[in-house]
Parts: sequence; structure tokens; C-alpha cells
Amino acid sequence: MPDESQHQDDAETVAQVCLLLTRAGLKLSAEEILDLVPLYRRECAMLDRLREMVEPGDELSLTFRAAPREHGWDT
Amino acid sequence: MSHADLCYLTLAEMGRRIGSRELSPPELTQAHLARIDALDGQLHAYITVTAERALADSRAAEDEITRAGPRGPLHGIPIALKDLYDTAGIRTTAHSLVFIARVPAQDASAAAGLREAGTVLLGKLSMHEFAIGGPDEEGPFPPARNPWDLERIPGGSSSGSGAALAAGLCSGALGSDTGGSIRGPASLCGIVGLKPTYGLVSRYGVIPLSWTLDHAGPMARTVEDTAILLQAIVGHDPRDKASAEVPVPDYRAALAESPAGLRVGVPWSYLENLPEVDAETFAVFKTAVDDLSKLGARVAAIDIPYVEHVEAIGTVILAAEAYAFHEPNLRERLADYGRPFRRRVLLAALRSAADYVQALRARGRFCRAMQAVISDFDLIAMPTGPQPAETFAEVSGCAESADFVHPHLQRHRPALDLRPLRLH
Repeated sequence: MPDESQHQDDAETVAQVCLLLTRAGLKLSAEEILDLVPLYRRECAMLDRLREMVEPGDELSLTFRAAPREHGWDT
Repeated sequence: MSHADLCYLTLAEMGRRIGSRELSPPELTQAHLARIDALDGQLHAYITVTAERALADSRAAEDEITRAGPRGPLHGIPIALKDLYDTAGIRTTAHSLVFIARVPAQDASAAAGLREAGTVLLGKLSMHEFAIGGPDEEGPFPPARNPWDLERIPGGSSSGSGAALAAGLCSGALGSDTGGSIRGPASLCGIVGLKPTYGLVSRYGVIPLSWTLDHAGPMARTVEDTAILLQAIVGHDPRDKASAEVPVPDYRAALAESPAGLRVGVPWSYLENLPEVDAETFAVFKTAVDDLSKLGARVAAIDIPYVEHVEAIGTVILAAEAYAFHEPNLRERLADYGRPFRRRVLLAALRSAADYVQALRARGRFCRAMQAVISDFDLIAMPTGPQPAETFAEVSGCAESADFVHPHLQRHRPALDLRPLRLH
């Protein structure tokens, strides 16, 4: 028996993906959008875990522009 | 000597024989071109073969060597470049329809370093589109195949570099590594690949994937050959803003040092608890660690902090930076990008700027924690990946299987993949 709340959840995720793609100016086929949805769900869960990892005081790590030394540069 | 015997000499031995006039650059170049002609129809390691130019350069190298002696160990040696290194006057496509007719006006810095060392460029090598995604049968060029088994992938994204070296279709190559793209194919093709320390090799003229994660580096069939190639491409380059101004040691001379006393950390508990680690792969790795111990290295167990987050950090940063580079073309020419590329990079359009910032903050936390763990070690030993090469059918339309490359990548430390196999 299909779960109605699951259908609702799926529909909301698809709508959200469509909205974000439209905002980015990207025109994808329906098939490709549906292909992205499970990947997007996985990403959302992954990003939630990343947010839990950072703590107040954590700064950006850009390591761009001669930063190797501060990141343990050695030859 | 047969073409195969010549083409499987080490690069160091080729250089020695050229220096002593036992071997000529044209003879060596012709042997490689004949082998490419015979085998590359099946392997698809090359996108562009620059045969005429290679023969002309080999004759010029021979003339100069006869007149003034070799410039160094790479003079007259046939090499090839991943097709994202700019080469003046030679098409550089990044294996994409988007850049199908792109002909750069000048060489990438690393390509120029190899040219100045006297190498002979055989051509440009196949790769995953823009160094991300996976093998794509619908792309503008066929994907490279693994010479050990044509039904299997050679790894990526430096797929052609790995395949060409394993098949004896070049004697040295350059790849690039953003998420394991040198180490993966080196592992799956049984060669050697080095992701140098971030900032050591200039990325100027290398088509970018992710500015804070991209590394240019050498691939070869032995560690000594890799060291020889590295020597020719290192050095400060103000045109790459991440290029570091540091002294350059003699890498080849350093190979004579004994491993006795080296402090080696191994994340045993992490590796032993992963269900997807192939038993044979793990056994080969354990043998290598045992060999290091027998040579006098001091091996101890370590734990990698935040290991469950490391791949996520890399995925978010890589895709966001790749999306930023490709954004205008993705809007205008989406259909010209292959499906594996789109699957990986379009996800960045669904994330927020805050997600990218949080990933950068997480990277900083991971780097500090990892530094504390490994400060007592000279190196961390791990298998490059958990599984042997998959078949093309197994990876169809998907990313290739997971690997262990991210901990080294996020810290911008050097990482070397060593071959566990013998080539003959």
C-alpha cells in the first residue's frame, strides 16, 4: 500500500528541485530532473551532517594563494 | 629489440641509452607511434596523436644530442598529456563537445616544463569529461579502456594516462587530481601516480575543475620515472596564484634513502571495518605494509578524524567550484555536456552559498584534527581504493565506486599510488 505522506514528500522534493533549477537558469528534461531527485535527497542528508560537524569559531579553509605553509607544507 | 621491449623500458633506462647513443629519439618515437597505431583502436587512450610533430621533434632532439649532448634524462623521451593541459597549436578538448574545437595559443606551465626538458609529445590523452563524472559511451570520443582487461574501466579521470602507460603507448604522462584522478587510474592500471603537494606544480594552463582542490602531477611506470618527470614540472609560477615559492630538492637522489626509521601510520580500524574492501586488495596492502616493516619502518595504527565526513566535504567543494567555472556554458549549452558530468555538477545548482561555506569550515576543522593525528608520522599508508577495476557495465551512467583518496586531498598533502602488479 503506497504511503500518502511519502508521495507528498516526493512531490515537494521534485517541486523544490524544479524551482532551484529554474532559478539557476537550467532547462532539464523531466527524466533528468527525476534522476537528480534521489541524489538531491542524499545530498541534503549529507549537508545536515556537515552542519553538525562545524562549530562556532571554525573559519573558512580556502587554501588558495600560497596557503600551503599554514596547512603543513613540506617538500 | 621489439617495439614492445623498447616501449616498456623504464623512462630512466631510455634516457640512459639515449645519453650513451645506444638508442635514438626517432627510433624510440617510431616504436611508440607504431604501438599506438596497432593498439589504440581498442584502447582509446589517445584523443589526438601528434605523429608528424613527434617525429620532427625527435629528429631535432637527436640533432641537438649529437651536437651538444642531452639536456637531461628526459631529452628525446616520448610522453603524452591528459587533454586538459593546454598545448600551443594543438587541440585541447578536456574530452568535451564544449571544447571540441579549442586550440590554445600557449602551453600550460607543466607542459612547457616537459618541452624545455626535451621530451617528445606523442599526443593528448583521453579523460573523463572536464575531469569529473565517469566513462561516457555517448561522449565525443570513446572512453579509454583498461589494457589488463578491455571490459574494465582504467579509472579516472586521467583514464587515458593510466591506460597509455600500462599499454606501453607512452613512457611518461601528466594527469590531474582533484578527487583521486591521478591515483585512481594509477591504481587500476598498475602504474605509479603522484598527486604532489598543493602548490608544488603550477596549474597555469590546466583547464580547472576545482580551484582549491586541483593538482597537476606526473604518472609513470616506476617511482624513479615519476620523480624524473616531477623534477621537470615543479617550481614557483606566479601565474598560478596557489603556486608556492619553496626550495626544490633533487627527487631522484632522494630515492636512494633507506626507509629504515620511517614512521608510518595506518588507519587499520577504519579499513578493517569497511564492508566493501576487497579481500585480495586488502591482502596486497597488508603485504606492502609488512615489507615496509621488514625494511625498518616503524608502523603504528592511527584513527582518521571525521572520516565519515571527508568525502562529503570534498564533494560539496568540488561541485560548487566546478559549477562556478561552467555556469555560463551550462545555461547556454547544457546538451553539449555528457550525462556523467551533468549528474555530478548540476547538484551544485541545488545547494546554497551557505552549504559551500560550511564545507570550507568543515575542511578547516578536519585539517587541524588530522594535523594533530599525523604530526608524529612521516607518511600515512592506505590502499587507493577498496575494489579492483569495475566493468563498464557496472559503472554505466554512475560514478565509479568509492575510494580512499579524500583524506590526503583535503589536507593538500602529497599522495603517491604505487603499483601492486608486475607489468611483464
